[in-house]
Amino acid sequence: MPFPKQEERKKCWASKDAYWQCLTDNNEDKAKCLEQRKEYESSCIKQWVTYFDRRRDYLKFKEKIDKGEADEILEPPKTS
Amino acid sequence: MGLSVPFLDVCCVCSRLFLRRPFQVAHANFGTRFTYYVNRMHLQKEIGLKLPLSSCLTEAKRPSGCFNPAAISRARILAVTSCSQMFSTQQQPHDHMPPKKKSIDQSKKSPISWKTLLIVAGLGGAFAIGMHMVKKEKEEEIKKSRTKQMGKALLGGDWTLTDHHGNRRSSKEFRGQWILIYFGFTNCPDICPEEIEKIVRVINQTDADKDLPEIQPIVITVDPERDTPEALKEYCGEFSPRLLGFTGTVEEITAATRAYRVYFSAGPKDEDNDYIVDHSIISYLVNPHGEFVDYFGQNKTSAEIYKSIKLHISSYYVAEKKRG
Repeated sequence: MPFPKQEERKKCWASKDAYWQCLTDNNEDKAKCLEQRKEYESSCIKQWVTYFDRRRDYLKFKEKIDKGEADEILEPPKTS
Repeated sequence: MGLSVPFLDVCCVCSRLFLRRPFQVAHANFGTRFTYYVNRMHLQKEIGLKLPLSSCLTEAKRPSGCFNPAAISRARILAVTSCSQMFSTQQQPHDHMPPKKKSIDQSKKSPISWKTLLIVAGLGGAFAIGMHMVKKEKEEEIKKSRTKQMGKALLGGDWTLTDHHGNRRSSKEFRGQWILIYFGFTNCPDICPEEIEKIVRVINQTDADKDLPEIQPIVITVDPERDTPEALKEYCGEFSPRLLGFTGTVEEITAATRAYRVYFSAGPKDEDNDYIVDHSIISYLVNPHGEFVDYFGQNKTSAEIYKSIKLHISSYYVAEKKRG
């Protein structure tokens, strides 16, 4: 499988950033960002979507730790 | 002073007594009385000096008793002299003796005064502090040299890989040149492109700097299964014509990453047979001797890396000049 070229990478990153921004604006409500999600999934290869989703979770968690609100360390979120 | 210093050297048996006195007088309590008693026994045993016991026990708290400074001085001088006499045939020349005998006669004036004691104690203290500082400094130096050596011994090493033009090349071919090595892969979602862009910015800065030699930026893949020389050529070309990509067999890549203690691990494959390689995000600076010099993590900006490289290169040439 050939790697995503520079143009593809940029397109993917832009759609990912738009989706993340939507999540931030809507208090992480994924239902309100379905349009952006669709665009994001069509711009990025599957593996990258999985990777960026995990990365967002990680960054959000890290933010909480930095703010000292890391109760989740003791109680990890339930996986659905 | 002339008296006290040789005394310390010669009369080691009594130095214990000599040095402990001021403390004891300052704290004339039961403990002192006991120490006095012990010391008295000691004096009697070792030098045949006799001191009154009863007066000490009964008059302990009175300043005129045997615990007052003058009395202690007297006892001390007696001890000093006796000790000096004991050892005089070995170490103390006889012509030094008369002043000491004189001092016994004038013991009321107490020539070995508290002042002398304080000076000796002060000197001793200063010497101890000095020794401590010297020791500490030496330890620090050893520690420094150890980490220096560890840095050199632990990281870096030679490798033979295939460059993105399809040529087999060894790292030895880059002797005489500064190289900046980054480990990444072409399917890398975000971090590698960011890091490689950063390296390109650093290289643009060093290229523009006339004081610096040309630095060769190198990208070694941690995904040898997918990254062919062709793929690497295309990938590197997207960033800068100055970049040179390297790939090889899994064994060759593993050997190169081991030399630099780079961790890499391919993730699980999805239905498209696609995967992501997790790996250390570090760039390594290697000098013209092929020795590892410094590393730069993800947290370093291009400006910081540029500054650091410039510093390393200038100090390297200063050292080379000294070496001749």
